[in-house]
Amino acid sequence: MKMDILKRNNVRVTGQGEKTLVFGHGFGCDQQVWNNTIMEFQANYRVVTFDYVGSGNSDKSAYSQERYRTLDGYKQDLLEVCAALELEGLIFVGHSVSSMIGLLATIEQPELMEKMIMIGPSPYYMNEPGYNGGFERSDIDELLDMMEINYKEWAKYLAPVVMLNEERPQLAENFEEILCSNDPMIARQFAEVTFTSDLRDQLDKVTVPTLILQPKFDAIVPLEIGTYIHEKIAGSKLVIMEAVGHNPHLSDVEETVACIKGYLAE
Amino acid sequence: MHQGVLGRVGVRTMEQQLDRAPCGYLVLDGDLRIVEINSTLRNLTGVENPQHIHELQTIASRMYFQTYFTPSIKMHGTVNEMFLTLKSTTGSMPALMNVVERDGFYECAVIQMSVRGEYEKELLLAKRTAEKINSETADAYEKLQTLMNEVENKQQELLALNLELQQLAITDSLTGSKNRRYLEERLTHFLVQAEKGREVTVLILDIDHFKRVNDTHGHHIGDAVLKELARRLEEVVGSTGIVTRFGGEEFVIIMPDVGAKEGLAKGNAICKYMESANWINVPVTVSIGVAVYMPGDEISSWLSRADSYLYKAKAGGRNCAYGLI
Repeated sequence: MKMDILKRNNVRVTGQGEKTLVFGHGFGCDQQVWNNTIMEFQANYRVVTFDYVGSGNSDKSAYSQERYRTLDGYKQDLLEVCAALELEGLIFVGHSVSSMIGLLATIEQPELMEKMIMIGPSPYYMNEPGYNGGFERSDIDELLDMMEINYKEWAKYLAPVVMLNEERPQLAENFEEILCSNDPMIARQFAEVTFTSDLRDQLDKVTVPTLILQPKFDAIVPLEIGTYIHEKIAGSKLVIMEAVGHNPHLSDVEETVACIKGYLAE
Repeated sequence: MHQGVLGRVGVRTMEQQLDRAPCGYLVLDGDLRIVEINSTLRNLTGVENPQHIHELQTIASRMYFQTYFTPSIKMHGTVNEMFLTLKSTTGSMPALMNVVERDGFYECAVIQMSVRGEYEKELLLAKRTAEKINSETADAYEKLQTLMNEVENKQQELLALNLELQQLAITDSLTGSKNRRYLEERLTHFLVQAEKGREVTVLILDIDHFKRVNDTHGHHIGDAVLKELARRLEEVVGSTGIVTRFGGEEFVIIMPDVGAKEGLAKGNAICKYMESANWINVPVTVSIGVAVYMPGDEISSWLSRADSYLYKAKAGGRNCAYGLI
């Protein structure tokens, strides 16, 4: 069972240290987005990265439309990975939708995390009277179309990365298999779930110390959302980053790492 | 005016040409701020003095760009044929974008594809329709499979039930022995065999003083004795004959390939077996009439001959078999 989970979610454990950092990737990518970030922590922490089922090199045969119809399925992935590694008192770093997945996990198991760090979080992406989530339904539909039209090219981007993984050359051979025909459907459903889940009423249930990292101009999440979350999560800390864009862990590794380290030292 | 590579006067510089080239050209810095933009793209998008790539994009495009462009360009240094929707003077337009990273800057070529875009949309629509039909077909097929499985299961059940009914139809419900219906069916069969020359003998067996058992111990014990007798008959006869309950306390045993002499010996052996048996309820003995098939016999004449020999056995003191050798 343990091995199954570790294989299913392509779990990678690196680094050394008493405390464990778990990094959750966002929609549309996989754990490789953390490659540059985790290098800065491996000397002092045990570092866990993984792919949600349906992403990266996870076991896509484990994907079911039923389970991953809501963020609960992804939360279950996270909880199962932590249980398989027998983790407790960990520090969770979630990017984008992963910060909401972490939110659901800490609500279900408050003792699981010691601290939680959210990068570019949003509890709800849609506009509503009195709430500026940033998107209309038509924008989401346009995005889904764009993903579908771009799918073949996007898949090709992933290929060389996989093939550069010299330690595991078998990945390249399996690549055709990895890109199974389910992928566009999975990506589409993940997008639907990501952009239509509404977790605003869950925020105030969080008891774990939380850091909110909000890029000062995030194309996806309006600036005020950072404040919105900060006000709802008691004892949380909001940092507006100098970084621009939705992926500070890629575009501004140094600043992202400094923010996380600063919070861990508190 | 500079000289172009071909040395002709009046040819513009590459820079000037790029500014008016029939495709958009854009240079971004690492934060996706616009460093350079050519006139073609400025005119296409209708955005006056854009500072950031986002100003050229629809909301969905920004989201897509953030999700896929940044990770891709960071990891590979190049992005090819990315389909995006850009703002335009008429609202929005589909465009393809190629990007290379050079010295920390992203150089982008943008080609408008309004006509191709329509075509892509149609393709997408056709693909979705096909997917929908496919999934409906798959669903229907699955349902059909389920139904077929159900039918097959029902058939199996029916077959099993039939078999059970067939057994019930030829089984005596009290003793579990074969019943009279079965006896008649088998006798018809063996009569034909006997007519062709096969030796077949029937034994009619009756419990001695069974009425006394019933009167003394009640019908309940009477029934138990009948059951016990049926079981003991199966034990002693085994594969040498077919045991059937004829009615009341009477049993008929068909013994194929057994002649008159051997049949009588078998009858006597059965009597001995019952006499020496350790009966659970009430000890009983049996009398037996033994009749081999005679040419010209019908079932009735055959059985009544055996019955008359049973009568002789009873008259001869019971607990014995009678037959003509």
